[in-house]
Amino acid sequence: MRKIISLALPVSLLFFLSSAGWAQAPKMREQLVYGLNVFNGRGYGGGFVPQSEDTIYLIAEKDNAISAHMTLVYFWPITARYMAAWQTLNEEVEGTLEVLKEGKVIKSLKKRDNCLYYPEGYWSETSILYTDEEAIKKFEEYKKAVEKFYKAVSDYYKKMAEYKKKLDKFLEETKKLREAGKKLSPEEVEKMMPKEPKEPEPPGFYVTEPRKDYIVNLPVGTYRIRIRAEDGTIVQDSEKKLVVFTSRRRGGVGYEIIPGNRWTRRESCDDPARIIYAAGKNTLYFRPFHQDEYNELYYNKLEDPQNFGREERWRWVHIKPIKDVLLVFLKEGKLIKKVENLPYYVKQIPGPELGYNIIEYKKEEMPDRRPTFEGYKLDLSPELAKGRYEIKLEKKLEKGKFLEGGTRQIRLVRKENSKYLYPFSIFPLVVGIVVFIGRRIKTR
Amino acid sequence: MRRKGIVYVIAGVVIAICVGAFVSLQRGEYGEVSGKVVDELSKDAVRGVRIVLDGKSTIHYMSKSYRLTGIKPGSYTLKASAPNYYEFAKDIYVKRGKNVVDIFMKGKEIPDLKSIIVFTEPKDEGIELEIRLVNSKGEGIVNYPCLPMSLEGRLFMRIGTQEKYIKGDKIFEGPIKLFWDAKAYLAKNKGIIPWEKINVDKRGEKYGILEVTLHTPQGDFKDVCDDVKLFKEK
Repeated sequence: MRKIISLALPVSLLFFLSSAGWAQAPKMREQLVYGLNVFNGRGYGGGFVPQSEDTIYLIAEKDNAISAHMTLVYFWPITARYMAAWQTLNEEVEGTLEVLKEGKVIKSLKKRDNCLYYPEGYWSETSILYTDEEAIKKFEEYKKAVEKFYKAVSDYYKKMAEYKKKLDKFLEETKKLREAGKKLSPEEVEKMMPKEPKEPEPPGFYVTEPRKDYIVNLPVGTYRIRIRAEDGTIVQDSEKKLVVFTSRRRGGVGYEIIPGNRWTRRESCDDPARIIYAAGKNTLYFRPFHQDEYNELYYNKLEDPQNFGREERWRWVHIKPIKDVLLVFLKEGKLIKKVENLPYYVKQIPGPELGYNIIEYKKEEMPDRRPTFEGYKLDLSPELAKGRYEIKLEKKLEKGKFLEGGTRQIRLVRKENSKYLYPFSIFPLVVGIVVFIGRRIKTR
Repeated sequence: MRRKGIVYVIAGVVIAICVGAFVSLQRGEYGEVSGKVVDELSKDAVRGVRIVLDGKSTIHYMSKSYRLTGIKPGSYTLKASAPNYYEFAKDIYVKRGKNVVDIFMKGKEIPDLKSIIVFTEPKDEGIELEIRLVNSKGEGIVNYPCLPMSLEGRLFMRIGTQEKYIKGDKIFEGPIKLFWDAKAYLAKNKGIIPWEKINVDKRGEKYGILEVTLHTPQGDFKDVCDDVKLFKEK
């Protein structure tokens, strides 16, 4: 009985405490936070720095947009992160951003107009930060492009209405002609048929509305920042350490690998020493990237100031996709095939069974769709002969020349006799049991 | 060997204590001033309040407390200012460590107050009045301080429909108790006329006409509400 009580008591206490935790609304605190729009090697990314973080990390010699806001901050236990309730409170802190080095103010920054330009559209990762007049000019350019598009859409609808009228007239006429016994050749029908107007395409680029932020561009080093209000006072809680860093190595080649059987679970193979293992029948889509190597802690904190990382570790960061190459698949140095970079579309299988097919994207067949991803497709079948396989990237313009650092080894793992491996996994357990029983017998 | 170990442990503890004491002394060199910062009458947060002391400042919008750190011990004037409030100033002596100074901001004016709109709603305790403050653009005023105000009204029976009616018997006349609803967005000033003060039979759906006058430091404002429900809604 006592045992049951001693077990039930902590369990019920745990349940009570956890249920009490569910019912609690997060406590909001008004804080001065920094909003970031910083260069991450390939484009610009946002984030916010709550009071719990005392350091901001930036990449050297690049324009970074920083702003200070008063907002409500709460801790969200599910993700173990501080969140900002921007909708409830978002007031900009006015003043000058001072940058200090060794206790001396080296820069006093005023807020400047800036905007982000996405040359490949809003969803692309590439973005460029424009400042001052250029930012205004770029946004005006975008506004004009949007206005032009809307006008084109309006014209398209007018033309479409005319086209429908003409089409009805054409159908009526052909019907009359047929009724009159006249036979029309396909060429004549083609000639008579009205042409359908082409739907206008929206602007391929996107520009964010200009906003005023502090533009920070500094060489590598450690600094401190703070905000000096218009009355000359230092704003409480605005002081932060600023770590400006750069990459340790540049120009590496990394791969993002999309497995055909689970395309959302992308993996990366950034280190040339790493081997790619493929089991059974598998289709892999390789996406090569130029990559730079950054300090893990600094880069993780740059991506999100609440991220974790280790200062003594380094990580590769994909910077730009490599497109002007062919993927060469080799077995022991002999060419098996060359693969071209192609766009692919993930088509969901209709019906109750879940699944998808990855098909080659052809614009003429899917005019209203966009490719899901681009990559070099490699089919790895279990029938492939045993041996060392590798992939290389051949420059399109210089035949026979391979991109340095682009080689990766591929090992095909066979599944057929894998069941015999399972008994080996329990071998240490069996040894342990034998030793245990042996000792028990001895002590008796 | 064992004695050596004990010596090392004691040395480690002594070093740790020294380091701790040094750090706390370093910290103790400065003072921290903190406390409440609220509207004097409503005890609500003061939107946009700026508190200044010894070359440091802090600004708050929804918080009812403030904190200024890293203040050298000495005599200062703690100042606080906010839109539509009188400036607050207080001479204080900051000692090392924590100093508590509460700031009560006195409301100056309701910005661009031009008229009022009164809405009523029957509640368990009585008829609740929502007083919305309107500016020169005809928009509801959102952020304003709590000012000393009084409300008085006259309630009549309504004979006829809302479109066509005449005033009936007077069923209430006198001052109306005002209260501050911090959670409300537009109508923070509210009033209540208790049922026991309304001379009417609460059975059946009857309506009344309420004439109110709001006395404020910025003048008197009047409004009439002709759809006052004189019955408790289910």
